[in-house]
Amino acid sequence: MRKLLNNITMALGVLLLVSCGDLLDVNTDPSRVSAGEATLPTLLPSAQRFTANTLYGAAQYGAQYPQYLTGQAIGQFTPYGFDQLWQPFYSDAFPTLQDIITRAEAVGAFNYSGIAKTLLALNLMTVADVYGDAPYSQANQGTDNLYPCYDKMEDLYQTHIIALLEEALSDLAQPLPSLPSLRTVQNDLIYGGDLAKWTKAAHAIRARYFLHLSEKQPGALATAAQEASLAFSSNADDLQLLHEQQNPNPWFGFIGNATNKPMQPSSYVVDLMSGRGGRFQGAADPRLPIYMTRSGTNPTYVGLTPGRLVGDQPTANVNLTTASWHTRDVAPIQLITYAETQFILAEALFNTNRAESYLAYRRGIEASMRKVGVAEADITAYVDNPAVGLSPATLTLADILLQKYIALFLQIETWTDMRRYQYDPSVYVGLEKPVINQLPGNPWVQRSNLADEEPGVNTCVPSGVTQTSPLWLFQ
Amino acid sequence: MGSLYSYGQIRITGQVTSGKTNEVLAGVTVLERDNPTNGVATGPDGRYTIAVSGPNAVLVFSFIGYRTREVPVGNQQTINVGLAEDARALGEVVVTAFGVEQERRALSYAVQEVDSRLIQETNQPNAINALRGRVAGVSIQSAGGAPGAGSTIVIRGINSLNPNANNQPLFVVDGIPISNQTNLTGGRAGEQADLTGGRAGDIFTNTNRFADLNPDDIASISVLKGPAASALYGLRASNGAVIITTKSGQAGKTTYNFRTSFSVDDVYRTPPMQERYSRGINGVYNPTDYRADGPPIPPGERVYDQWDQVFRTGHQFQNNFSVSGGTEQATFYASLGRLDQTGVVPNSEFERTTAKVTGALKASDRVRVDASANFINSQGTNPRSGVGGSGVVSYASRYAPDVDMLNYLNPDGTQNRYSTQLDNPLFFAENAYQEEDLNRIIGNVGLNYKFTDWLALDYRAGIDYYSNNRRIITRPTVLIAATSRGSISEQSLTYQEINSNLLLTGERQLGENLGLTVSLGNQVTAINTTDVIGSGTNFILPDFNSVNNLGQYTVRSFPTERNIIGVFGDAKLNYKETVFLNVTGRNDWSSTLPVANRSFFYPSVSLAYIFSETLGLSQNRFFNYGKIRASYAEVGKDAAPYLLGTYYSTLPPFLGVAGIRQSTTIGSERLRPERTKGIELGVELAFLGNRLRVDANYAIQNSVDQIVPIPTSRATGFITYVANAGEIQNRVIELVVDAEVLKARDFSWSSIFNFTRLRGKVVSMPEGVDVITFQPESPWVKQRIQTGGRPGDWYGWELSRVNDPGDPAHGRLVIINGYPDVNNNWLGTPLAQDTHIGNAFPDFEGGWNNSFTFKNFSFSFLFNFRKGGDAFDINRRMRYGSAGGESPTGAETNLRNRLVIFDGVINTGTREAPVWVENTTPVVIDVSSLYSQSFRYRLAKEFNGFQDASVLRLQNVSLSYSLPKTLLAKTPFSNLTASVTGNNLWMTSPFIGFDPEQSAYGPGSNVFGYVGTNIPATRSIYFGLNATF
Repeated sequence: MRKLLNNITMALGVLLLVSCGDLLDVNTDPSRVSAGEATLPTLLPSAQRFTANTLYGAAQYGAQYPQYLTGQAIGQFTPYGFDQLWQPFYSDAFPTLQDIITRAEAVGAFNYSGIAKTLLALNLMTVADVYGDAPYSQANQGTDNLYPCYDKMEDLYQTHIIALLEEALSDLAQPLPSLPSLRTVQNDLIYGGDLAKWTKAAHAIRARYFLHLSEKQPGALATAAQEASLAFSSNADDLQLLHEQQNPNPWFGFIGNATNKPMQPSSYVVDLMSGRGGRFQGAADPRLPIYMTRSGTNPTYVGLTPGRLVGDQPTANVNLTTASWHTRDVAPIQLITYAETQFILAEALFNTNRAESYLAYRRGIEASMRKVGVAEADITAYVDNPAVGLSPATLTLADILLQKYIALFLQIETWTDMRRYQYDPSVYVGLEKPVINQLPGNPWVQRSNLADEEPGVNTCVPSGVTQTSPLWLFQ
Repeated sequence: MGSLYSYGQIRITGQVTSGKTNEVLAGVTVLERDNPTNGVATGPDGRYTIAVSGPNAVLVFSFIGYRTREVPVGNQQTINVGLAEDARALGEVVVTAFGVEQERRALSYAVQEVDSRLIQETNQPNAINALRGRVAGVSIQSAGGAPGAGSTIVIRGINSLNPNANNQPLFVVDGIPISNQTNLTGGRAGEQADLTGGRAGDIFTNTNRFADLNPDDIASISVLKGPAASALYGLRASNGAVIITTKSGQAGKTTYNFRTSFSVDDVYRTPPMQERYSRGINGVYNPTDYRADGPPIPPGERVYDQWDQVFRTGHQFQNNFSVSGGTEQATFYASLGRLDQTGVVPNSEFERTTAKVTGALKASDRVRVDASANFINSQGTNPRSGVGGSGVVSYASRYAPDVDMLNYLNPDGTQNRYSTQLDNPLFFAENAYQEEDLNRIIGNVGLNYKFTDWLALDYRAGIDYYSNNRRIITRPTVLIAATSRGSISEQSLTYQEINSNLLLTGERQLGENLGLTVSLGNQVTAINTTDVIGSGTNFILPDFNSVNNLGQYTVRSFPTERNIIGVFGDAKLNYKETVFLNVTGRNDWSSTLPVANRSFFYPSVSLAYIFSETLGLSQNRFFNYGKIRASYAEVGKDAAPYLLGTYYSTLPPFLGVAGIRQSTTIGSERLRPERTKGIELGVELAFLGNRLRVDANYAIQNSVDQIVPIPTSRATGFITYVANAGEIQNRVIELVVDAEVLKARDFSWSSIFNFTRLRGKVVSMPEGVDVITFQPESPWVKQRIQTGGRPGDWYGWELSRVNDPGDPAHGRLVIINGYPDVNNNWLGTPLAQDTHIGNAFPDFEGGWNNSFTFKNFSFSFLFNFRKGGDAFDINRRMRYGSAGGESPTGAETNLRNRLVIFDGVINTGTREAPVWVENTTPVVIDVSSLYSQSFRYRLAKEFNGFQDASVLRLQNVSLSYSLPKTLLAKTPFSNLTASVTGNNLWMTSPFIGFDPEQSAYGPGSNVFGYVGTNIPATRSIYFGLNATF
């Protein structure tokens, strides 16, 4: 017995003295990795997916403001803070892109940093266009700055976005890194590592940037046209993220495949594409049955009146379904397209080179139609319809912006266009305010509210933010 | 005579009686100490005869419930013995840390013990529920009436800022901690790891793992309430400890016990539903509209009660067989238990099989060894419920009254759905559910070695291992899976905890008046968990319930490891059995803290003084006992695993490429242990020869330096950062009054009353965080934690009332455009700025139990009560939204589609100088006006489901009859008892709805007060039979 006891005591002693450290040094999570194990090729695909989520998130409910969709009380209900944009940008896309930039610059992998800066500029511009002021220079610093103050929209535009865009171009033009494993960009879900295409994409984003900036600096219009001409040469160059059945496009889950649709196409876009919108009168747009599905016996496409809730208007007979081009499971999330660059060109040259403006207008329509699979004969028939085809002399800004409106269906960029023109009914012909709006006085919505979650966790938020005050860019 | 002496033997006769009452004791074991094979038992008259070897022999008298007594024979031939009652049997001894039995009088902190009889009497399959209403300072809430549903136990209040933290005490069975973890659906496995899980509520009311234990195996439960009581258990007992002692064998005749019970369970309390209007909107009939806002149902048309249709009678069938016995050297206990339960909704069932063996061996005078093994298998199925709108109860509450819910299948087997917005609840139950099965082993071995009569070593090692497989099926035929085309999740969880406890105890009398007991101990705890989950969407075949049937799927794995080493000391000093001083200290080393901070020490000191001894009152007929006690204690607490450093995670593949990202939580390298500090003052008084006993406590507990994931601005690049921050204080008053009201020959009446008043307070918040909002369900009612507030504070909108006390209209509703104004909006208060509207926790709560015996009958009843505390009935908000339910004002039936003039006043003056005149504007009350124009009114707390949750409840009634011993004398039975028991038989409450005391968030969460979405609590009536032979 005594011996047994001795053995137990010894065993315990051993346990206590020898294996204390072994027992206690176990606080490394086996299901995750350390910063050192992350690499540029493994961060890049994450950053690209997060960028697509950010742009989708901005449009998910934001698509109600340019009246693509309607039917949700929240679109009009105060306050709305664009959480679906705020969250994926600040906690996903921004940290991952910044991570790539820091790591890439440290090892001279300017091919990676050029791509990351291109995408970060696009993300940041979207955030600025929705929120105006937004955290950037103090953001993304973890516990080093728990309460990041907001940069002025003016500074985001004049300083930060342009700096990213300048560096993006110069990085993409740098010699390839010396390290063989970094010379080719790996796991590029968008362009397969083709830096020439990334350079075109950077020019496209610069074109969008200078077009926006022309609101404040009219001279930027010429630069926008110049950048647009350096950008994409066909639909094949589009900056977009294709989805697959295994990872369907988020629009598919949100609306396309939903049994109870949260939103429906609005009467504004349906009327415009049906040739009864006041512009392109009588020209039935062949993209209409591709964009949306009509149900019931009424052969006429009827959209839901903006402001109405889904189900409140029995005559509405259109929906986005699994067959609709934008809400299919394998549909791409479009970040910026060839068609958009043509419309930028058309708008930028409208007063200076009407002939080229007109050609760009037609190229934009044709590109948009080809992209969604309209037959060539139907494309020709549509653009040759006098109501659409017009002539350099009869072309108006309304035509350019309305065709851009149709081509950029479900993209949040259109909301920026509308606010650049302050919902001008001579540009957005027939546009009316939603019939029900919880904002007192039914004003046009000018911007997002503060992100819903910000007050309470950030002590440095701007005060006096309302959805009705125009942003710096649009003042 | 001569022949007897020639064998050297003496023949002894005598009678054994109870020393206190002088009743004769039958069945007392009488043994010759040095010749243990020589033994007899006393007869029915208490008499015995035994032949012993000679005058040097010593007789040992032992009997259950009495102290064993040794008597040297000497030259006596008749030895009559009076046995003293064992303090333990009288409740004078309680089990404290490490299974150490302590005399109650020596305790210097609050411990309350609940006897096994009370636990078994309730027939509750989850033993935690049997404690409800019986222990002061302890709050127990069930997640609902689903078979196997978990229950939450909280001792002395919520002490964490984190709404998703687990606030539950440590559970210790026979000296070894076991898991009472609730693994939330969608949460992470592993102790404390649920930092983000559970926000959506626990949609399957998963069980708390203590419920695996067979209640019939439990001998007693002690609740150690404050840090002083639980300091020795270390960091895991910072929320208190529940100490369970299981049954063990007793020397003597082998006894067999068989207990069976069968129950009838039903839902006894349902919300009122309107029965006047048919499907449609704005009075227009539309058979495919799920809302019941159509025209009145024509007379003669069938109207269905949604609750009658969705609920049915459930049953529990419990069988338990045990055998125990042994000799003075070796004892054993073995049991086999089985529970079969069907729930009150379709596709809901639970079954549990338990087997337990316990044995102890007195190997020598110095060595005692014991071992115990408990095997548990349980299996259950439950349909989806929970906080979101997609659950059996939620769907039923929105079902139109003119639709027959039972007619839910088309001839081809598809769902007969009257609206595309709503699933049929019965069809849903069969197509959206969780199946689980669990295998668990709890075992321990112990060795006790007495070096000398004053020094002993106790070593015990135990394991608790379970593997839990869960399968959540959501078929594509139900609405919530229409988009995903069906989803399945198969999860395999394992939990393994190994404990090693070493305790060296020395006990010396230092002189005449001073006794000292010192214990030194070491505890090593190793906890390993695994969690592998395969889940996905897109059914390939319609009825193949396996992840192998999915078009898209991912597999994830989350193992954890956490180890703790503790050493501790405990010194008890006792002066004249009158003053007791107890000092403890413990140092823990935890693997989850940074190396520099992972060793931490915490002390406790407590003092008890039995002043009645000094005053010589022990024989006083009126006031015979009085003790005061005071203690101060700290308990440290470590972090969850892997909260240090910042990690990178992998993403599932996309277009064939898997990416990596930085985690959204910032770990801290500077974490320190949390601390709970407690001061406790108590008094214990006994009157009338112990027939009336009062035990009162006042305790203040502060939880400081809490390790919390603090929500941060996402602009930092992260969602949360982990830090030590914040302080919560709980002040509690506990009172227990225990009275033996009557004690006569054939009749006795005893009564126990307990009362708790608890106040929590948020003393400080993490820097820069003004408020932590818990807003899971409705933007109009939310819980907020903020400095100066209390945990469980509700915020929302309330109807505006005239608040000028000098105005004749004081207190009347403010009406604007015919509808009541909310949240003082008329004064310019923005709607988004919510006001404090209540608190989820009661002002006070308690219970009152009465037990009667009359001859062979025994009868008991237990009331429990809570006063105050508000609950948010999510179900009522849903009923309101779909026009199915009925509000207290009758707005949706009596007033519906009618013009009403709200009883209130309108302001004809200015904001600053209001002039109130009677409201005369009639407005229509219909669904669309309640939705849009007056949506504010609809969302005022008075109408959206927010209610006072005060309850007086008849928790338990039990009646049993035991056949008289005289009748049993000629049978093999020593006891035969038949019983009828009722749980939850009656309640009264201002709350309109289901039971206001069943948390929608369930155990494993700190969120209380949200109710109404889970399967409702049932009323159960049990018929039982208990036979001992």
